[in-house]
Amino acid sequence: MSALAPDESGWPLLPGERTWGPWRLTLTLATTSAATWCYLIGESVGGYLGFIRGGLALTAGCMLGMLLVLLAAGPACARFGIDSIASTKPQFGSRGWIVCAALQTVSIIGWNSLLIIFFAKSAVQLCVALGLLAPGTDGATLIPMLTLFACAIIFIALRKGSSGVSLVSNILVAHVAVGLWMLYLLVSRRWPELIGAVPAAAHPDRLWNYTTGVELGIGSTLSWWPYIGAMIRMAPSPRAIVVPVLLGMGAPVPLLSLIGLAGALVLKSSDPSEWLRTVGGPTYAIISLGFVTAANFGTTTAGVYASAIGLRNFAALRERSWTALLLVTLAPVALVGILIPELFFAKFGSFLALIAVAFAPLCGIQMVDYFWLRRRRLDIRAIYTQAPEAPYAFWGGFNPAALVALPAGCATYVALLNPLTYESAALYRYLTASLPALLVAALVYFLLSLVVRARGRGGYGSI
Amino acid sequence: MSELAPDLERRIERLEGDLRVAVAADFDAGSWAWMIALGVVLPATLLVLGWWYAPGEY
Repeated sequence: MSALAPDESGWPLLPGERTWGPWRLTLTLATTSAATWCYLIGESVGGYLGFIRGGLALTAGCMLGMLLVLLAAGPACARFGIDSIASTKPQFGSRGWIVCAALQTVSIIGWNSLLIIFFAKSAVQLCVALGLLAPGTDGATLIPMLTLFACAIIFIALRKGSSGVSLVSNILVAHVAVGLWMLYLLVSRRWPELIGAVPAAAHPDRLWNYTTGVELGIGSTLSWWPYIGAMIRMAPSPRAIVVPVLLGMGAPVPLLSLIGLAGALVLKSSDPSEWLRTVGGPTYAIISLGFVTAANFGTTTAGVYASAIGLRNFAALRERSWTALLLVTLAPVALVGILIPELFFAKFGSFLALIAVAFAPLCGIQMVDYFWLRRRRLDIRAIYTQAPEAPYAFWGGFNPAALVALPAGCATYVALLNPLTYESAALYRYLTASLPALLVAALVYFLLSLVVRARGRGGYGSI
Repeated sequence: MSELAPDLERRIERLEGDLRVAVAADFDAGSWAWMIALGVVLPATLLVLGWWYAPGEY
């Protein structure tokens, strides 16, 4: 393990190793957050709301969701230089954290696979637009090759650890400005149509539509939970992460989602390359394809890094070489892109929507544990101790309070809103689904933890 | 004898002795102000603007 660089290990980083200042963190987070999913988020909102109201609801939801993630994982990760998974050990136990690790792994690998397939598809379109490929070229052969190519580039970049993440973001951050330029084009040239556009799937209930815009925003930024610990642990203190997280990761999502929102409303397509062709001709389409190609690259690089650090919590991977760990993390992404890209593209979005249901309850559990039950006291030694008598061992390494609270929160979410069909209960229009899910999980965890604490488990009085 | 790896033990000892990670040393007043401003006040303001003042039916 001593041969590993600190930022390639799962160990807590020392203050001198946490070298990302506010600007570096902000740029990295902004590059991470800007990806094709922004168009999909905007397109979803554009199904229910107009441009202005949709943009406002989405932005409000995104900022609120980002705050919740910051309060959940931020204190532990930024105080001790640990990643999101390690931050769950006080809540889930010295073995129970594996539940959160599974969520993180499936979520990040799933998104990475989707984004790399988007990258490959966009790269094929870009080559056609540039005349490098014949129009109508079938991507069936090229997409797997491009997937492998993308994975190879990411592997090479991440051989440098967190410096690779930072390097990629320094190069690709310009695409965020390109994205904003694309938004300016569409808004400035199609404003009357934009204001008058009717959302394709607007519910008769105005409040339902508005709440859904907020919910899509909250859910979008709650999905940053798996990524955030690995990034913010590189900053020197909790004070140093607040503005970069909120403005660097929370704000770009709704801003760039406006591209998809506007495109969906006016041109019935969230794909900017399609509508930029109508707005500004093939040159603009090429620029947008370049933007999409670059955008997914930055996000996937950060995702692979976060996932690799999360896997360090597994004993079998704790002392593996960084190269081996990167290969383990990239292999599923490469295999999906090579073997089943179209099937995955068609089906996995639904699965990811289901996975995302868990992040609101998870945040609720972490917040109530840190701020109320533990009064902001954590035992860094206990986070890394697996002995049966260790503070966070609970029962056999598992905390039943968390293992009950998490599904209780998920059940609350699904009872209020079906994440696949968007059928909803009556209360949803007033409450959203994520916020009640978070509160129910927090309440259940709090009540059960009183019992856990009374039984002398959980290290609540140990420091 | 610690069950932890030597490097990890060293890191934890260092962190346990570091005032910057001491009890409750997380967000300061400025951080809370930013979080409330950007994470609560801003969203609430946007929601009010969007519901009552945004033009158009949708």
